[in-house]
Amino acid sequence: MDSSKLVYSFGEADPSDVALFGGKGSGLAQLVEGGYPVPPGFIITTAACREFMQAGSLPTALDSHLERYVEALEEVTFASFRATEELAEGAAPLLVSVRSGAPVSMPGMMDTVLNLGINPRRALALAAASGSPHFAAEVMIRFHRMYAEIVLDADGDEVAERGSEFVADSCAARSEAVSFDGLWSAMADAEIADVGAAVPEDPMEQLRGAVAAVFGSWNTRRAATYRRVNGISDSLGTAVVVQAMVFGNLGSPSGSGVAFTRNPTTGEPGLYGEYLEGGQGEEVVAGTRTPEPLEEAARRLPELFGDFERMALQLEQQRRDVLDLEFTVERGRLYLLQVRSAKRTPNASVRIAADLLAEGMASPLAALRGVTPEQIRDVERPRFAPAALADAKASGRLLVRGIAASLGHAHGAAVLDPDRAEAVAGGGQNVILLRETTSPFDLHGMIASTGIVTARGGATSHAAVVARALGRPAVVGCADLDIDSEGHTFTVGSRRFAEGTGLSVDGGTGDVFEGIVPLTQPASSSTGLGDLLRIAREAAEGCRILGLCTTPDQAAQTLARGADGIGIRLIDLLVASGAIKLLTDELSAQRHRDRVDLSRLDSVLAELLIPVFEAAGGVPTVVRALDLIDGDAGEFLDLESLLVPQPGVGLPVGLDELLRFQMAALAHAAGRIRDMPPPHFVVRHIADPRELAALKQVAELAQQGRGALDVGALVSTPLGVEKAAELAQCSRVLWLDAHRLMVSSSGYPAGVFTSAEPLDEYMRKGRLAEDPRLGQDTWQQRIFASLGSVRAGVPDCQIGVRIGRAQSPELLGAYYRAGARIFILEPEDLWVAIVELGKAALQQACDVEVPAAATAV
Amino acid sequence: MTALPDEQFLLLNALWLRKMATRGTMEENAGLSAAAAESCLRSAADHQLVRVMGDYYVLTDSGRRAVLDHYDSEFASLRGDPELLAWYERFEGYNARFLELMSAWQTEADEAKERTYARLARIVERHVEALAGAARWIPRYSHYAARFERSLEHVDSGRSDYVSSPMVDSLHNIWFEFHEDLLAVLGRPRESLED
Repeated sequence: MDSSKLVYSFGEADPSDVALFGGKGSGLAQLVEGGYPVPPGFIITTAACREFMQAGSLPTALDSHLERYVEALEEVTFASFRATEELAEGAAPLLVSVRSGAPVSMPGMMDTVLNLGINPRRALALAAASGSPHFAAEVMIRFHRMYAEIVLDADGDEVAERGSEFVADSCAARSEAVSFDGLWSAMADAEIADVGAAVPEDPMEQLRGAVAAVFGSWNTRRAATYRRVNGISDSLGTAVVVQAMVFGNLGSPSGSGVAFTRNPTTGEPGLYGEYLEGGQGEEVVAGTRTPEPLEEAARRLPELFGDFERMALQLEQQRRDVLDLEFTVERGRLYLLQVRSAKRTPNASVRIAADLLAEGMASPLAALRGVTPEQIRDVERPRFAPAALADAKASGRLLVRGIAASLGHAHGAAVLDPDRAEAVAGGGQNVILLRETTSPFDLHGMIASTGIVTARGGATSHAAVVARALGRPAVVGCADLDIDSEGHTFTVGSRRFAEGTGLSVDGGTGDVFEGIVPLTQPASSSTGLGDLLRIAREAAEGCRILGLCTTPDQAAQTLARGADGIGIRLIDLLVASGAIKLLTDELSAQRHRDRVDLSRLDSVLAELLIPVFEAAGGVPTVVRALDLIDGDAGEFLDLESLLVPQPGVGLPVGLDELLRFQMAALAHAAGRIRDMPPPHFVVRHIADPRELAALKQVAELAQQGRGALDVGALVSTPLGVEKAAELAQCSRVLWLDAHRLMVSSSGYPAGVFTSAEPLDEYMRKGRLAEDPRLGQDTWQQRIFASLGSVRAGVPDCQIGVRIGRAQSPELLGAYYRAGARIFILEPEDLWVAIVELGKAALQQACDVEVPAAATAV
Repeated sequence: MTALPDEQFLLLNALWLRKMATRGTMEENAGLSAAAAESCLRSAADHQLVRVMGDYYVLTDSGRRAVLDHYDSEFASLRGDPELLAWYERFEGYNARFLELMSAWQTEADEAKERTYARLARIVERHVEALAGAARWIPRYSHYAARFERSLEHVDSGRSDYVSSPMVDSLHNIWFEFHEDLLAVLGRPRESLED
């Protein structure tokens, strides 16, 4: 390729050379190569950008190249860009768009200048050709706004405001036509006042200015930081795409539209979109005029839209993804302006991934990659039960309507003060926080509540912004709502309500209902998620996924959500039933005994376990021993006060009887369930094989005459990680508590990890180089290395890991790659986990098939 | 109406704006050294201007009065300054756009979001430049500029919670606090003692 050539037409450019033409440029070249109609244009290469960066100015050779390609553009469009003389009667001037296009998509780059080439004289011609001086004025204002902001670094909004004022004044004065000279200088004056320079009138000068601004934007602070953080080379540079503008309001038939190859809200297959006859694309987007559905337009122009539909579906086939297409029809000719992957709702995203898989357009891995953990969580998010919602509406329980400020459904007791909200929520009740307005003083109350309602304020108020940032459903600006926080009452019209009244909030519609509208969780089958979960399960068939539970109901739900088994923390069971008090009383009372005897409690604990096991029906079960060392029951089990009567509780295998009683209860309960495999009893803080051996001895005692169980170490300390391979030597399964390991690596109290502060502030001050919460730190690498030695030394030992809610879903894949095959999770995380493990398993299968050399860049 | 010692005001003002803050947050937002913050806090506690709730501090009623009185005594002379009022008018223009873009950013999907953020960041940058001009009336305003710049840097590094999250020193948090501060300087605080 000629290295001195700095400009290529779309037809000349090699679509595969993304490094030279950028993402946008090679995308357009590809469309042209495939015979799709795009407005003509040319690309200024990244090589020109590199020269610009070295010299600090546009390459001298570029001028003549630009002249040549502009001339070619004038020829194919039969329109003039450079001419200084009057345009022929009825001829529209050539205007162009100028856009950046780097080889890697990245933020902070100059965006787009549209309508470049307009000036007062050419606006006159455009007004004549379109029959609308108002349109020509709009084109001029839009151009000034973008050029002022991007090239001149002036306040574009201010400039556009001046322009609009000028047009409004002209209309008010009933002048026959807008004075384009006047409009131009009004905006130029604003620019000069702001930055001391104005938009040039000469189109070629405008073009050079815009190209230089695109190149210059490569080095904006934001772009440079992004490259540094993401390891993108500074020397890539950006290309510039210059493309003829087409207009949907010149002649007939003309118009503009947007289309999706599938419905972006529901995911339903079939072309879906809107068309605005005689309109411009931005009018469709802005909603200033009402477009018609695509099917209606297709009835009037069957040939044109038939072609369009064929093209759209063919492109979808090629790109194997749902596409969003912007198009314009200019005098009966169709142009594709933009073809890109379509944005979609979480629901649509799931359905589309499942459909593409079923249609054979996506591989299982591609289908699973089509959905993110956030989207799955969103699809799972509870919503008002449809029948109950309809009933609430029909029975007149709509209390008040405000501005829908933050999506989602929630219900709870109305509380009118942030401190009380925190207290009520702390007691386990759902709270809807009702405030006149909110300020930072309300933050703790907003965090504690499940929904937020304010009487004053709009969609940009403090309450709205903070509710969205916190992910709380919110309705703001309910003008009919009167709140008396001191008096603990609120009124709507003539009705007075006491604090504590049940309310239901729909943050998507702005409706607030009186009373509790129950929430339901959508079934996986209703969304297409079922299909994805199925292939993910198949891919990760070697994995066992267990959900934590405490009650029989939870056990049944956990299994209904696809878990292979259950996990139980004995402390939860004892606290929930109140039996914990019996245990602490026994331990304190037997302080002077030589041998502690807890056998009276064996059956108490067994009776608690049996209903849960029955509900679970004999699935694999892991039970975590009471952990007095970490005081995981907080106020219920105080290590300090127990250490005096029973010093042994301070060590993992320090009081045999405490362990015996738990294991005896477990073995007894398991023995009652037909065909139940021996449950695993796991103990934290064990780090030495001798501790494990001692635990096994106690277990033998506990099992006598009862069911069998398997005991193991739940590695939770740095020492345990160091000795993981030794522990594995004498274990069927080596268990890791990933959340506890994160906590114990630093020794900070566990509470530090359950909220963003104070660690965020700590990170902000730069006091740690690695954030321990992200699972990418040195310590996490150390854990994986240790698991590597387990797999190498004791290949028969399985690895099981408990991952906490606060930990990142990516950690699942990382542990999978490190060899873990058993996962214990909160029930809410099951679907996310299944999909993430499916991705990890499929990815690993791909990696094995592709030899390492092929992946080297 | 009495003025507080300078550092004392900086610290209590940081608390007044944040409503509830750890010592670290106050230190940072007031731009004080740990030692200075420590001695200010001790004296504030002695005069019952602040109350401790766990790791957090809040102002007492007399603390809030002291802050608002300080604004009145220190800045009353500025309140008729036409140049400051013009500066304020300009800020209100930015403010409307900032909040509009902030909401758009929160509700938009990826690509549009990126474009919106670029415009949002531009407004913050312009405001940061404008703060340099306002520092001739109120020198401590340069500290807001430093906070904005640090948060912009965080967002650029991929921490998008620094746009609007109330849990970190996000652009929205700083902006909100600055707005409150400016309104109090002009004698129109949103929160009066009667609230």
